[in-house]
Amino acid sequence: MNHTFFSFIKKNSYSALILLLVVSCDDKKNDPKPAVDNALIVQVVKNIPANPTDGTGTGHYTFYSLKNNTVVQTTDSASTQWDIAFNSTTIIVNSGISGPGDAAVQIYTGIFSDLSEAPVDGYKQDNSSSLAIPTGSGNGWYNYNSDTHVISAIPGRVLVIKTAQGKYAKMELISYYKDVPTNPTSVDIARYYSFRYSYQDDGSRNLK
Amino acid sequence: MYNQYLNRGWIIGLCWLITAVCFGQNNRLQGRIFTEDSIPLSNISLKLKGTSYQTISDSNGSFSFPNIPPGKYKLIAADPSSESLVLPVEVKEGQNSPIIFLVKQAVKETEEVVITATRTEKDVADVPTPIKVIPGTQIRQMGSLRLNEVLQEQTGLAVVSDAHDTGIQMQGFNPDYTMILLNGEPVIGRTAGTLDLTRFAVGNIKKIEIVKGPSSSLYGSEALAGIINIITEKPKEGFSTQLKQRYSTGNRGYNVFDLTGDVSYRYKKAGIYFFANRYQSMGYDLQPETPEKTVPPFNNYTLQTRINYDFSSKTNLVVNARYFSETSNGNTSFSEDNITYKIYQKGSQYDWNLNPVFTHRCSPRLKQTIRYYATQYYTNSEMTNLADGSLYDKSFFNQTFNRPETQVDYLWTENQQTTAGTGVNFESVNSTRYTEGKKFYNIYGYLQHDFTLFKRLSIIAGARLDDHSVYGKRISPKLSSLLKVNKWLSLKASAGEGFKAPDFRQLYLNFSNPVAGYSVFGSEEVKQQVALLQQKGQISQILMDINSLQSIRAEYSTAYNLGFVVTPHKRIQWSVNFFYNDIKDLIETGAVAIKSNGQSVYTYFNQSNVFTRGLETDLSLKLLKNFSFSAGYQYLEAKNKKVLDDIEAGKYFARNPVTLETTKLTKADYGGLFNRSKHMANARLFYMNPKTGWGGNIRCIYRGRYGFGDLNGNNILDDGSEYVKGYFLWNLSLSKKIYKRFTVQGGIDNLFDYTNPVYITSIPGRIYYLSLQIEFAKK
Repeated sequence: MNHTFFSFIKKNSYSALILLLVVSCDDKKNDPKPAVDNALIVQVVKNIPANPTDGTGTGHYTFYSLKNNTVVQTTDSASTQWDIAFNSTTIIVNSGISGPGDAAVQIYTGIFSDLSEAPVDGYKQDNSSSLAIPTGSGNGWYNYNSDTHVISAIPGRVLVIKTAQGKYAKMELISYYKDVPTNPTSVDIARYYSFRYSYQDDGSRNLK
Repeated sequence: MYNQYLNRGWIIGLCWLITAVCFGQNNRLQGRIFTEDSIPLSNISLKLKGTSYQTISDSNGSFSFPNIPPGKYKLIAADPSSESLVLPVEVKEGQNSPIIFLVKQAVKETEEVVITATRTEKDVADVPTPIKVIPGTQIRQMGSLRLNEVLQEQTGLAVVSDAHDTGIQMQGFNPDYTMILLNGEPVIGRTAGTLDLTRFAVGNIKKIEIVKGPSSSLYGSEALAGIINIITEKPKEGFSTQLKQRYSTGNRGYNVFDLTGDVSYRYKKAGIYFFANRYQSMGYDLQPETPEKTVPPFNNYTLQTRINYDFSSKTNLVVNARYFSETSNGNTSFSEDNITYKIYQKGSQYDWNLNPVFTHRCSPRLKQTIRYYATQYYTNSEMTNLADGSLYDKSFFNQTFNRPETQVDYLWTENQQTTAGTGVNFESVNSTRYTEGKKFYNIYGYLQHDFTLFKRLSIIAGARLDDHSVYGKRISPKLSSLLKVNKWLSLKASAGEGFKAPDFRQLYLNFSNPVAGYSVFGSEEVKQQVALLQQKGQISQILMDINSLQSIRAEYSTAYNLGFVVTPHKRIQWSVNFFYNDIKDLIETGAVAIKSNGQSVYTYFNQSNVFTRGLETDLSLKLLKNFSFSAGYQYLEAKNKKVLDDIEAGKYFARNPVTLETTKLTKADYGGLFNRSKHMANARLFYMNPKTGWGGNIRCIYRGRYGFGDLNGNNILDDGSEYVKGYFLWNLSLSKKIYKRFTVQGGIDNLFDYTNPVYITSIPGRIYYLSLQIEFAKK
């Protein structure tokens, strides 16, 4: 695998902080609330190649498993091992015309950390007339700047994903360029996805 | 106004003596006109203000108006080369008026007649819309050479440059929305929407009239933000000629040689004015580390002439003609498919026009004007490989415009005037950038009624109907009013509609950039061209359903201007204007497909509804002898309504590029449309002493910060890093007249050497210049 990935427990550190505060209050209050530490892990993934133009392009989608936080081999593209896949600016989910799974997605407008529960309905699958995540600047996950020719992930768009195995996850795309340049230009190497996501393994819609 | 009065170098010291003798019988108003040395002045145009009565003085300086109805009038004596003089006269039934002597220095009021706002001659103080006049004398004192240099120093106007052209932004509109007129006729050659103002030498400009707010009710398409009318010199009485040579130099390779000359001759009924200019620029380079110059060297020539012939005091013919040509060349290099090309680029352009105007006064009340305007703009560019001399790319653009037009002005009473006109525009364009040559025509008529109530309130109502061969009919109304509250306060209010029809480019463009690799197709071409690219396998992704795209419609605006002019003292004038422009169906480019080279395919859409609003204010002070000070300021907001709605609905966010955290935007975060400065200001001090011949000025322009583009992914202007910093430009000039015939002028433009190589390529840094002018005149 030619990508690196990091994960860190951001929510957990916050919770730990809250816990400390709660603990420090314990002396005064005799009714300590149990500090529930069940927040989801936020995975931060960088530089997933999506058929890049730097000579390493495969001509194929790059398939990704949210459960395992790994890239799935192209040979397994006809399985339900992957949930979401990337090729240039196009994102597909394992459903309909794209794969054998029953994955679905909807675009939530808001802040990633504010989304605490996946909606009950409103999910779309890939079908022959349109993809669940529409293509085109401003339509789906990215904006295209016609002056600078730069593709940017639209801030405040969160993909709420029902995975191929019926679990819920939320994902925020961060960058389309290799190594997440602060101010990308058209000379930066494109088609490298970076994103953050949280995966709920218990089958509930809780994404907190 | 006062500048013009004070600074007319050649006529300073000449006193006018007007003797007006009014004979009661036949109600004839007659008199003679002399210089202070008692030399009769011939061919001076005289008229009675607010009427169509007009005459010309003969070789004895005599003039007469027969059959004038009894009443009080203002007699205006206009010299084509100078400001007008005004004399109140009274025609009494059966009585002779006393003989009146008029000495120029004693005249307190100078009339400034403008034409652009109403298409009739009108005193600038009576125009109900925002108007600004830049006199030619001021342009020469500023030491400007090209039109963009003059306009960038005016309140509320910002010079904006794209890759090709330098244009003007007015009331927050892009340059495409301001109509540029040359002696009342539209200039063509907007290859990419902006009319390049550097095409205009300023040495022959008598004055520039700037009218703000929509004027489609008179001028039709394009006059959405306003109008800039360049009025060139007319033949002066007698013979005069001047020659001016100027050399300018600066850092970064800037070197300009400018040679300007003109000849004017007028004898009795006939006159001719001829102007020639050669402008040679070595270009300049703001980024020496790149292989190409920021502006490559270029050379241009302007020839312009104006011929007057008066058949009688009632009938005259004016013929304007212009020829301009420019060549440029330079090297550039770029990479494509990992091959580096070194290219020699050669460009040329020319334009010409011919404009005969025939005016006939059928009666004292009825004036008829017949105009014909023919013009062509042509440009081509050739790129050859430096390595082997092979052709890399070749392109041309050829536009023609022809317009016969007739206008009738009828004066019902002293207080009511109707203007009606009709004409046809025939336009054609052909270009390597279009699939084939295209033709349009547009039949139009306009009607305007101007009436004054109670001598204080004047109202102008007008409308124009355009019937376009492609777009059908469009009516553009306008209503404006002026209330003279008292001697020192006037209120102005106007409301009108403006429109801009989709141009050739937006309809028919078929262009693929050979360097950058992207493609732009007009809305009538896009379906076919994308299908062709798909067949060739050059499309990697279609971004929207191209077959469902609609034809684009005209953009239009509804605009309101409200303001006042305060003149508490004849040496102090303060004006304020509030404006609001509500613009619908703006045509913008948007990507429809991505090519296999990674670049996009664009076409044009009616996308946005935007508004621009703000205020502009000007102050002019002439408190000290020989000095004049003026200052101006504009506050501007220009915003996209949909973006505002979406921010309110919580749909806009920003991602911090370093922390990668996302936050929700508020309306206060939204900076509005790109390339607009919220604050712009100017201040200038002029000095001119006609006795010693010394003159000088210091001018300062401020352009506040403005957005250049999106950096944080939401495609709107919100983050501080998305702004170009505000800047000041300081310009100085000093001149001295020697032995009456010679004038030496020197100056420094951009004193503090401001440059911004990344975002502002039109400012070359500090420039020093020196010029010598020789003039000769014989009455």
